[in-house]
Amino acid sequence: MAKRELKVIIITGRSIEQGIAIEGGKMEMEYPRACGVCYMDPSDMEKLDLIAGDPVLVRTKFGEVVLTAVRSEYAPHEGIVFIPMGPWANKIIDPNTSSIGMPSFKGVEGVVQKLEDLGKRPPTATEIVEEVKKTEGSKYA
Amino acid sequence: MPEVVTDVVCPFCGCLCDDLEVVVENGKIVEVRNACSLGTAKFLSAQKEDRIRKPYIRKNGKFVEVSLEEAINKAAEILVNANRPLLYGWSSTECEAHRVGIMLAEELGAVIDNTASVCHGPSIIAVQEIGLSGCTLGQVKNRADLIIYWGSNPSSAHPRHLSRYTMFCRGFFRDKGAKERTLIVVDVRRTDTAKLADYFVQVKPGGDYELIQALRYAIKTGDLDKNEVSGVPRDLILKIAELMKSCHFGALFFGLGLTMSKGKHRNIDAALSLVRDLNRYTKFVLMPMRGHYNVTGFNTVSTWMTGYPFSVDFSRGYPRYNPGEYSAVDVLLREECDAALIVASDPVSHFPRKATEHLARIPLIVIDPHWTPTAMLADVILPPAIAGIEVDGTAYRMDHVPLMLKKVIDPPEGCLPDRELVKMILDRVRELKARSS
Ligand code: SF4
Repeated sequence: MAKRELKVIIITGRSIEQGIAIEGGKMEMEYPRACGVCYMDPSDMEKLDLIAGDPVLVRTKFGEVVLTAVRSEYAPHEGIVFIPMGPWANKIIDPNTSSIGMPSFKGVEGVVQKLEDLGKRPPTATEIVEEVKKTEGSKYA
Repeated sequence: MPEVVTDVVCPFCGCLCDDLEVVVENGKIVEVRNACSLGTAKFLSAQKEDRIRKPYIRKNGKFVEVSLEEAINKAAEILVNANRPLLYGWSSTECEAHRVGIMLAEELGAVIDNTASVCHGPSIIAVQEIGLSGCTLGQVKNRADLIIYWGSNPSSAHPRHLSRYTMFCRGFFRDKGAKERTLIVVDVRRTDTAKLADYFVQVKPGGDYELIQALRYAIKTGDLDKNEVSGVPRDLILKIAELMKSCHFGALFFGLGLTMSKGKHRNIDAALSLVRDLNRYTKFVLMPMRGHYNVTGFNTVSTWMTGYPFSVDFSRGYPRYNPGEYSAVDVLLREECDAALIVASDPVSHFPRKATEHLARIPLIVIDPHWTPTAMLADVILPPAIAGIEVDGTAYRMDHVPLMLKKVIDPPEGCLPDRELVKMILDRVRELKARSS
């Protein structure tokens, strides 16, 4: 039986698609397509019975986000997932700056969960902005 | 007739490639030659639909187009009325804008910080503690026979770094190019850069510090009493140590894989110490792979003007430096700032969610050529010309070599250089302050 969820270490960083999308494509579909994704080791995808393009929920102590699973071309890296830097990754990374100003954007422990509802998709940048606007004490409230 | 502008400097990443050719026809960029896909995307973005071309103020929840004067006035009012404004961004604009930005911070008693605090800030902190054995990229190209990328994947972030400066280029003393050089890549994934390497060292996430210290031990003693360190077998560690000691000129380039992982500045501390040790045997240098094309420029200008490279607080009237306290993420996490000016940056996309939430609470001024999540939260938006495409200026390459950015096309009507927009805010702030006193 395939598992429903898998413990992983999350790293975030630049990808070439991310670098292209940020140049004037941030409020377009180009951005979630480039950055609302979770690059996984093929063996990890097999454990969760995932195929490329399936939605997954990635959870950490700090938050959760729906992403699209993508087969990593940089395998093997079993137990490690890569999420391009952007507002998707930043919902789940560790904001603690270790007293030097730098949050932990890499090496965060989390869980990847297979989603039964295959229609789920990552939020768009506009939807993320709307979420941020709903912050407690927001000037938009 | 298309016109070809030559020797154009690319305003995207810290490589600052200065061999671009941009073909312009009827005032539009129609082709970008020699650039990688990132640089090309940046040049073409100037003409994209989503370009911010007018000043806006948010009124009753909606962006309303206003005159530049009204927008500048509103921005100045917000900043003058704030107790602890934050001025952040700066890494994707020209040094002349940095200079005026720091003057504005001093005038306001503000906190000023640039994107270094979330990329190579830890490197700067470590360099301040240990010192740096560095050089220019030209020296690496002409002399280096051992190239190491540690926690850095230039194939994604600095695509032309290998072909212009390190591996696939002929140098004065390396006229056979890659044949005379050895490439080592240390990473947690087998990246495209790692696939090109002679030796790929796959380290466990968070294991860099131990691995560097193991290498230092192996270099000093020629031995190692562990079978593996951070997932790397002993034999490979001894081999890498031997290669490092026996090369003629080694260059270690490191990226966010070191600065953002467990240990942060301590990882860089260890890497600097490793390179210091190696200089007992051979010539070895180290260089951070700076991301934004002019992040180095801000750190340089800020150091001239305030004595400190980033995370500077002017609230007492004189500059104080303390990353962790005056760094933008911390100022936001503590919900301390009560207004923010963001120039050429998108913290809502690139800061941890918790830090971005405070930007939704406070008055926000944004100067950015494109609609971004940060611009969507703004109260005042000012439309800049893009430095390096529509306006000239100075930028510092990752090796601290200053280069002149070129103006290739005219900006859309009404879009002014960042330096002019910030100067207009500064002038208006001074007027408002003079009036109230
Ligand atoms: S490597 Fe960097 S500076 Fe060179 S063309 Fe590509 S993005 Fe521009």
